[in-house]
Amino acid sequence: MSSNWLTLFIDSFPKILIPGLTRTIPLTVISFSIAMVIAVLTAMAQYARIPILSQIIRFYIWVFRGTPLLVQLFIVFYGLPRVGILIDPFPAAVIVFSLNEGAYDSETVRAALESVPIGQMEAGYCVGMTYMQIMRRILLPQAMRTAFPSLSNSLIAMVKSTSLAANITVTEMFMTTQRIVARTYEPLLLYLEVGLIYLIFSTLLTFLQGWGEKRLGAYMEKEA
Amino acid sequence: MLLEVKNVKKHFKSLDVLKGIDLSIDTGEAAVILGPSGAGKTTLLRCMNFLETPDSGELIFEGQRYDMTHMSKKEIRNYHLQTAFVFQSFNLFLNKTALQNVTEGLIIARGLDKNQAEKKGLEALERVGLVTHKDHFPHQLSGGQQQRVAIARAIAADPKIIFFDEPTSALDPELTGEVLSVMRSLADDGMTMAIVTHEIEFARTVSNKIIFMENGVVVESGPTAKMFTNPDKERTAAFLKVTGK
Repeated sequence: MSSNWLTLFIDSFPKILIPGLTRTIPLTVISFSIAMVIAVLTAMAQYARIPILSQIIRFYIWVFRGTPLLVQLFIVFYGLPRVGILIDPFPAAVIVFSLNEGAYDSETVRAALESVPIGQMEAGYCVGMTYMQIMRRILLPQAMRTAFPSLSNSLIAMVKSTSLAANITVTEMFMTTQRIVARTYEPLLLYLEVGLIYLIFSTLLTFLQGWGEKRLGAYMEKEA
Repeated sequence: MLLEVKNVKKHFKSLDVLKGIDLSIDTGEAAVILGPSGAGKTTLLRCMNFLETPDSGELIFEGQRYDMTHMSKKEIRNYHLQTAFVFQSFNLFLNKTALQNVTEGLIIARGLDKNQAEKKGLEALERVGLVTHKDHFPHQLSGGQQQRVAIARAIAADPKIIFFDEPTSALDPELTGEVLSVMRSLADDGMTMAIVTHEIEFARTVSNKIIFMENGVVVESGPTAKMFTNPDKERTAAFLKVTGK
């Protein structure tokens, strides 16, 4: 029995890992990149208190933070075809994950922008820089440093959330595991195995976070 | 006259902080604005740099007249390119080194190329005695050093006037000297300056003009020697004597 388990574990490992590398990771990286663009742009608009646009953004954040990710996936993949909008599973997942993640990260970036002392902006003005120059060169770099740990957290959370994409037929790691379980009737071993692979991904990201914080934080390190 | 403001008014909520200020500063003049806390000195300086928008007021800069409440972003930016401001709390860019703090405005706002900007930046740091600290980040510098970098940032752009808002008030007493001596040398070189400070002795020995403010109005202004020996108003005499002994 135990040697069967070991064989199954070793045999299934690449079968689970490969969709991890071809589906889970690309889904995470693409969605998170789009989410960052959404987050920075919406946070800037909120920070500047642009009328109407700010309200639209607040509405967007309210909706996407207030409803389950799974429901959002179902609406886009199973619901939208009802009104003639058909999207393939993978792009549908990218759209939902980007918008959902963007809503959370927008608030993180906005709070980080607001934590930058107002004097930084004033000093920029007084040397003749424009608002956007100050934003790009002074405020955003400082805000992103502040937001970095939170954003890393969401990235790690997102790697795991991508397993929900199995529900809209994206054959990522979790769905692949389910299929192997259906064939072999070894749920304990295989779900532990896929859990282990998620753990490896998350651990790698944690190391990456530590490295990134060190690099970004050179100017913020406290004196010895 | 390099710069003149007329009838500058500013209120916060129900408090009238500036009740119609007139003042003028000539090229080469080191003008010190003195007065008790709450007189509106800092608000005046901030209004003159559009860090606050005054309720009313007129600015005449190099003969050009502006309504201070209706200046375009472009006009304000153009004004900022010819002036400089030194803050009480330094406000160095926290994500930039000392040298980058000085060159940032030259490169980004003025479009100098990097080599030119660094040359000017190093000259400015030399001027305040901090070339050796060019690669330090603000948190690696003492308050006095940070303020000297801020002064380097101000002078690097060859401004027509530098505004100082209580440049030594946030410093430990033993660090004020290094900042004041840099300012003294700027005055000796004929730099036009408008300085809000509580350093009466510095005002007496360095400035050529005193503007005495209280309760949002200019009580009296005049040449430094006269203001310290024979001012017209009793209140001026009392203030300069009481706090200046």
